[in-house]
Amino acid sequence: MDVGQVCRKIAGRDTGICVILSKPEGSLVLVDGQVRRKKVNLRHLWALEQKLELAENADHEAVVAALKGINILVKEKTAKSVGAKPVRQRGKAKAKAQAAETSAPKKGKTKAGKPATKKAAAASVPAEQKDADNKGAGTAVKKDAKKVAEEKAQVAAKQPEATMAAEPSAAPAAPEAAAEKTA
Amino acid sequence: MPTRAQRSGHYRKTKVRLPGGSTETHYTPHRPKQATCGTCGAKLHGVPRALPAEIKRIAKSSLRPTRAYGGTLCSKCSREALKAL
Repeated sequence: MDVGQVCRKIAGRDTGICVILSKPEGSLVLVDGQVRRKKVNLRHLWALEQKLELAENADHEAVVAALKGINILVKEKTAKSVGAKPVRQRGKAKAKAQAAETSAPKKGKTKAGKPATKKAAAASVPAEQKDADNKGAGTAVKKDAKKVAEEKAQVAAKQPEATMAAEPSAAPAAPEAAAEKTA
Repeated sequence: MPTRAQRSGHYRKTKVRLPGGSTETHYTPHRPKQATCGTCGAKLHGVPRALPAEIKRIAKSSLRPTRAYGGTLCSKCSREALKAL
């Protein structure tokens, strides 16, 4: 069990692959790797075949890099972000806090970009949209009228085919009527 | 007379002495046996003998040791299993 020996920790809350980083002091050695960096009893370690070249008391990053070379990954733990503990307010203090929240002037925009006051809302609207808004229903009526005109044009395009079929029968009748008149 | 559900072997009869001096029969369910190791059959430490309704109320960390194979294998067998990995 020398420095650099790759072992498996077989006892304790954290078990995994680790590397010995110090010489044994009685029965305790310093280990690091997939387990916590701490002194561990030699009886709780099971030596594996691999051995790494590491300096005595090497830091965690060096151990991780060395283990990566033999395809052993070490998961890095991230600390939880703990926010401020909410303080429960009662009685007069609670009423004061609520009054302060309601009376505080709302500057700029509030939820989802909505302006706080009517003036701010009017100022944020562009000029073109204002005109459209002022016209109101007229714009909607115009759009409908456009659609209606398009539909009429489509119908009229279909109708000439029908009128062309009717015209030859009507055409001889018209000159006959004119001849009768002259006579 | 006990109810039909209480007449099964799942319930045990206990005699309870009331403050007035009379004795009553109470029907309580049997508690489960102590958990044993899956490999060697040794009794497991750190695993409470509790009814399912009680286990719901107990914290998860208090139901088994915080160790690999905790609550399934004894400490000796778990070490052997980790060596074999």
